[in-house]
Amino acid sequence: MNKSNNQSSGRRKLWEPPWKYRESFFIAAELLVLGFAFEALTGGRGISPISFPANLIIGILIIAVIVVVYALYRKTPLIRWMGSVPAAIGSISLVTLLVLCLGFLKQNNPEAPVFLRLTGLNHVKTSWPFLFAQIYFLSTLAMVTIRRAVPFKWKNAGFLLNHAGLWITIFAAGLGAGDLQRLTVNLYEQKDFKNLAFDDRQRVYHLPFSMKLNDFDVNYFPPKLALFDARTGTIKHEKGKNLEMVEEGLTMYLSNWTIRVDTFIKAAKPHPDKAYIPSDTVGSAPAAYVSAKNKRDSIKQGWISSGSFRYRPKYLILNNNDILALTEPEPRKYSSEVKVRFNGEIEDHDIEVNKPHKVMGWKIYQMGYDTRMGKWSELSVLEVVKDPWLPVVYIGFFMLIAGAFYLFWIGRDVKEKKEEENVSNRT
Amino acid sequence: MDWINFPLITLLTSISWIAGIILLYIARGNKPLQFIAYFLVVAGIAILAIFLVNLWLHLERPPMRTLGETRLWYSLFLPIVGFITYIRWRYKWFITYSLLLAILFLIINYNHPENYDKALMPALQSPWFVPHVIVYIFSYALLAASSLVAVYGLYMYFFRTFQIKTLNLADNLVYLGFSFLTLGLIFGALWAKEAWGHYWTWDPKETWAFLTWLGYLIYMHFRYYQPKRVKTHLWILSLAFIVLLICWFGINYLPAARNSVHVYG
Repeated sequence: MNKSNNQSSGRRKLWEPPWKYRESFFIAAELLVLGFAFEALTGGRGISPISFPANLIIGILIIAVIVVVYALYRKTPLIRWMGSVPAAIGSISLVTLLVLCLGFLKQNNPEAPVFLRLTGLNHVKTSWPFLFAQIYFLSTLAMVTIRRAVPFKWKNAGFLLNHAGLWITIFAAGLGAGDLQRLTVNLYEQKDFKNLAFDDRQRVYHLPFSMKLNDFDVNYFPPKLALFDARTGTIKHEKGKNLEMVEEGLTMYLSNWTIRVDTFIKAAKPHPDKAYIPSDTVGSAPAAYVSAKNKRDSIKQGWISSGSFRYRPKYLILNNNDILALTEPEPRKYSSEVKVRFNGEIEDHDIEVNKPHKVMGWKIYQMGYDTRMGKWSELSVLEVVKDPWLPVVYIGFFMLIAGAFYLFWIGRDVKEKKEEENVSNRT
Repeated sequence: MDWINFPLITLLTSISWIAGIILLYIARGNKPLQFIAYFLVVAGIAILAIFLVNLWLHLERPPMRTLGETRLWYSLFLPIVGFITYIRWRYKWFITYSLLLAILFLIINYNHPENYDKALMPALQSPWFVPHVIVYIFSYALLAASSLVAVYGLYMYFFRTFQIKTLNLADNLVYLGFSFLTLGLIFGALWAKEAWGHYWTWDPKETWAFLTWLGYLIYMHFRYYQPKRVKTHLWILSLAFIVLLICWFGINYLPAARNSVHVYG
């Protein structure tokens, strides 16, 4: 078969039906060149996403065109080819090529050479070539999907879940990009309700709801014990990896030192007689009383502390080379207690990372805070996101998940059967 | 006995797997010997599994944050894939390679000791964390296995001993691996929506995960359409794995990937 294939393609001229791989890759190359040309002619500025209602209208038009073209021209060589595997491979390859550029080239790099900026390879995501690649990809995917969908047969269910699911996902994500809003809201403790938000270019927006920050809090992991090089000031032990968190009674080994944590206070402040005492005052920091010994030097004992914006860190000098210190504690959790006011109602919500809250079609996320102030930060940075096309994208996602289970259970059987058919056809 | 003693675990697991492999080769149809071989392979898997469960309890977080920790899961899943495949298809070379590769990963971890940091940044504290990583590593184990088969297939092709059933084995592994890869990708997207506000931001890891997915997508379509062009299939499958490796490890070395949210050390 391999042989006969070669022979037939040898006789067949380029563009003479039935089209196969050569045409598929030719079209991919042409689209790439065309994309580069569009990009260069528009000065390498790329494309900007279209928003409501233009995206919705274009979306409906695209679906209408697909249906009409399929209904009228499905028997033509072009449409048959578009639903074929060679067309799929050509279009997947073009997308792959451009995503490879995205993966290898630093994007939006102001120092990028001119040809990268003019071809759009400096901003692949919003470039003309990538737009054309996606259109090619979605066209071939649409044709093969509709061909298997009409008339519907249950044995095609898995195929349709995977193919239509992918089509819906990419289609909705692409068209929805223009309606996606990601804005930042800066809230300060004990200030009044506020509905101002900013985008990444500092343009101001008024939200349909307003928020007030009651309290912001950070919960920390215990700090880690680290040995610093007295000359360079850097962590000596394994480039700062594999440090252990402090707890009372812990014994650990750093270089040739044996270090024991005699006392550990999570929140402490320095006392005039150079000791640390537990305290909840603003700027209190973790502190520990440690003893360190090695074979040569005498036992060293003393307080160490991570320090904060208010109190200096405290180190323990072990010898001419080694300094023992506590690292800055890492946050375990940070959250904002927020009052949200909308339609005359006021609700209380705790917003933390991975636990956004939804209000009036917007999702509110905990994003950041004043890290210098840590848990005493009076500022909480929230992100509000609106993505009206999300439900459509999720339909695609769930179809793909169902399709993955189909591949998992049934995919192999179908393949084996096909393999047997091939073998029986051959014999 | 302290179950967080990694050198001991590496030793016990490696010994039982190597003994298992040797017994498989000398058993030659001897049922009791074969049974002992199976027992040893499963025992090695069980020891590593118990270690991981204990590590999880000890750390008070899923041990899936660092590259080293993902290698441990890989060393657990690859032998499981190898063993099940052996039970089903009886390829001794295949289970041998998967066990040796798992041992290699354990040795890499032994040489880069981690005393297991308990800290887990807030973004990773999500119910999606465990399914996302488990599904991905399991998929990587399956796809690595398929590429192993492909490389072996190329070797056989070169010496003209190639049989189509080798590629069928690779196909089964790819179909399974690809379905898990899809799940991992979508679980990641659903998680990203909850943690970072958007399901897809072309973070370098996402970009390379998508490329990996596309690579296997090309393989599956080409394989399906022209089942006879075996040599090309073997090559595509071998190359797709390189993309997967860039996604898993190489990301940490790519200049374009400096700001990835996936570089956790």
